[in-house]
Amino acid sequence: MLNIRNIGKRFGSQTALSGFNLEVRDGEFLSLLGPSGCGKTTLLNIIAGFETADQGEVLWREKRVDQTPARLRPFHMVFQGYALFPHLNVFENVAFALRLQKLKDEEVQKRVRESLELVGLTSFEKRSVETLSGGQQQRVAVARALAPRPDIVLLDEPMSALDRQLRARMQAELRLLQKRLNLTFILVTHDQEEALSVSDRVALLHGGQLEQVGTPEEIYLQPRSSFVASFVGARNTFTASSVRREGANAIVRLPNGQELTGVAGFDLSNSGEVQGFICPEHVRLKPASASVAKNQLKGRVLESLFKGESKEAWVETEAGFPIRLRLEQDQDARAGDNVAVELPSDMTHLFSADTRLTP
Amino acid sequence: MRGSRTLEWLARIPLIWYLAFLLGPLCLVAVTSVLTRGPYGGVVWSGSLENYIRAFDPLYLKIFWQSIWLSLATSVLCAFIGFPVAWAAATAPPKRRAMILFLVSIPFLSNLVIRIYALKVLTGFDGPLSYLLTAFGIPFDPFTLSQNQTLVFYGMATTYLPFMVFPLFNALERFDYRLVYAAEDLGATSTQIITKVLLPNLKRPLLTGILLVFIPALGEFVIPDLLGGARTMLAGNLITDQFLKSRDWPFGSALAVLLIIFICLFQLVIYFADRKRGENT
Repeated sequence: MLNIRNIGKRFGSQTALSGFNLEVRDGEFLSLLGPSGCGKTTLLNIIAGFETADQGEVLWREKRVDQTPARLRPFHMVFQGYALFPHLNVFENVAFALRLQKLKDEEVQKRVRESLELVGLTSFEKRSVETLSGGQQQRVAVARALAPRPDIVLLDEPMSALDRQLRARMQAELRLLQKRLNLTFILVTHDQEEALSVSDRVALLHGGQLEQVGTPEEIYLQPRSSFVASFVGARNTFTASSVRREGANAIVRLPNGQELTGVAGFDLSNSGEVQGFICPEHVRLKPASASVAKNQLKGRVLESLFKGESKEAWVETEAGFPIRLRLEQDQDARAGDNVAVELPSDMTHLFSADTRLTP
Repeated sequence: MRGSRTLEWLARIPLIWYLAFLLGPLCLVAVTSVLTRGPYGGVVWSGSLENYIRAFDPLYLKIFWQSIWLSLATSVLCAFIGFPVAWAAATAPPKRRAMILFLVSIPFLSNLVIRIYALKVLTGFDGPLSYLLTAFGIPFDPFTLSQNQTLVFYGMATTYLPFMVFPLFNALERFDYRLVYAAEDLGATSTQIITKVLLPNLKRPLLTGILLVFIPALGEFVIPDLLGGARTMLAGNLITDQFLKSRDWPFGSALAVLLIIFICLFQLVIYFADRKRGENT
């Protein structure tokens, strides 16, 4: 277990991290997700030992490691851009740490082979790293980090330089590798899709603080703040005013006077402006009817979009804001159609329209 | 197509110009080196290899050896001083970087002779340094303070330092510093980072710097003349003296040709060593 306790770090007048707490469990794939400048890379560097925190401590298996030099920590990093040694071939890159440990030659050979096998690069030993493709370089970087048998593998946006298809493949490979070795992986990324698809848990950072940590499902379906709701997924947003709370739910008034029920955020008070969020795939398209059912808004289809694997439609609602929604396979929407959209209350998240900036 | 043809020829004019004025004098020196000295200086048109045989006299070999040693020592010292300076400049924020590079190029801003003279005055018999040492009652030998090889060494190092710093700075500016982090992450100590990552990756610019210092240092005659006094005779002085003092042009030419041959051989050795090591990795 890696414990990050009350970590604070400033760069001049800029606060990179403040009062940051996080637990990383053994054998889990944890992603640090957030926009640029959220402190995720700083946190990774503090774990690795390249940065020293101004306050707080990092504990690995109950022992403090934040004063230990980076070279003595049992964590190894896969760098952004890989940082392979250009003067060494694939074999020597992977063997770098083993040679420093002065291991016997047979042991070095064995471990390098093992690592290269894990990443599927067995026949590349003698190749110069500069002649490899991006994907191959990444595999070498992973093999190099694995060869000294670390307790934790740290990955700093390793996939950011790859094209979309290759990235998807490498994500799957990394995930399988991590499960197979049952190693702790900590991945820094700004790509939410990547974080959601590879991780056991995702820690979402914002402004140097932990915004929410949880399984990908929790992060996606149960956002705990307006920041999480706006950063993860491509949600529709709308503003309303607060009316009252009803247990876990809240009822708000939309600009056209209509009332809407949704999940109440922790910061929701009985008065003040409210920001609402709902994912396009949770919005249901209904035929237009004279009466308005609960949580339904009347509207008119503005445009329908074909997106390959899915179809979407934009609906201008009577409540004064547009809603984007995903259409079912057999559904069709044509521009100008009068329709109703239903915002299921358990999928509609309501937060106080607070002062914190959203991206 | 015709336009580019014309341009191609135009581009050759400076090349021809350059070669003519480089190779021309060189040929002249080569020819002079196999002639005989005239009774009042000048040359007599009778060929002989006597000048070359004379050049291998132990007296002159010792001077050559001393020059090579001093130039090598200068290059190595420049590398040791230049590397941290280049590193500091390459990793500094833009403002400080400009400052460091300016300070490094100060030797280029003043005339070499004036600078060396200033050093000579500073360390000379009645100069400020000996005055200060006397004032503080520190015993010293005035002869070791001025006019010696150490002073020549110092003068050469300060003069040629920029030739080491600039190629290194250039390389370090483009260097991927994540390699340093990667090495540290994998368990390398500071020394191992230098020997296993920095030096192998900066071998080429270092060799360039060493060549850029070594070659002009080998031919240097002003610095040893002014700072070394009569006791420090280097290849550069020896050759200059043949032309200006002894008026033995053929012998001076022969020495110059030998020096050029040596420098070419030195470059070839470095080139092949570099290529061979490149193939091994």
